[in-house]
Amino acid sequence: MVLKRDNNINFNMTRGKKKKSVNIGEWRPWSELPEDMLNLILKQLNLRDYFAIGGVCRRWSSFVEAYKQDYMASQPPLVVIISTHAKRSCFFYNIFDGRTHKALLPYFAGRSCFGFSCGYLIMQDKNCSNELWVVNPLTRDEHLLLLPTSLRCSCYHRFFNHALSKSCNRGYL
Amino acid sequence: MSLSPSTSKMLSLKSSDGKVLEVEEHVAVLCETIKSLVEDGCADSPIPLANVDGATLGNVMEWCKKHADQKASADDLEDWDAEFVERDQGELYHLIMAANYLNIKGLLDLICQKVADMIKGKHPEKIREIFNIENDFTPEQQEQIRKDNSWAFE
Repeated sequence: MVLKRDNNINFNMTRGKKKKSVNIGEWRPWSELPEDMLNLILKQLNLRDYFAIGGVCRRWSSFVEAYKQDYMASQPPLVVIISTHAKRSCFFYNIFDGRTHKALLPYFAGRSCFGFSCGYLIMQDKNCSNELWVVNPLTRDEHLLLLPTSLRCSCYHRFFNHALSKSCNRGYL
Repeated sequence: MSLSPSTSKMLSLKSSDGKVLEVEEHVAVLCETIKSLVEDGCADSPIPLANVDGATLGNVMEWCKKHADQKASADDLEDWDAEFVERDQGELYHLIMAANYLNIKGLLDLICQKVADMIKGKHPEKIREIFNIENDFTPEQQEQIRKDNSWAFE
């Protein structure tokens, strides 16, 4: 049972006119903490802790989901460490606190990464040269782009190199 | 109107559970909510604070008194604040709500930082335990979170 905040609850068990029998173990106000205060707390957390918060309860989970973009925009850029043929993971290095975060990404298997833009990695399946995947390793959002078969792979590279050089300063995660 | 300590008068604050606290005006006006009432001339006693219980109001005013003391050095305040926030999660919850309601930015930042420090480096299970939060995920949602939570920390 979740008890809503009630100012008449004699939480500290000090002497008062209204003596209510309250089981402190049942008093669970934190999941109902107003959004603006939750936001102030979450802004103090690093990437790993921010994602851990999403696993605490349903309300905190939906908050983390809704404000993920704002949170990421408030964080310093991360250096992405990724092999050309990514297997199951990539790494993000925070140049300010020296910490490395690891993201496990099972759908990387069999795909090559040849760039990223606006937070999305650009992947190509080795066996399907006309398929390009754009994958956000943080949100796990991925989109398939089907390109005309008449275009050769090198054309994609040229296209994306051009796109990356033109990309805005959000070309980091 | 002067709010300096030398000319400070007393204000009466009434908590949600009916307790009345006499506080020096230059201390109480660290709460922006009370400061606005004083400046607008609406601070006739006692000022009702419907969202703050007596025990919490006492704690908040203790913080305000320390921070209104112009003799306190920055180092002294830092040490004092560190001790002030050494409380259980229930008291911290009351303080964070009161600091927000009374609009005391310094205290709100302090409590938020403390709560964040209590979260840092912990797994969701441990965070639930510390803050007495119920796990209200369905087994299906729990499984999805386990899958999505691909983050490891090295």
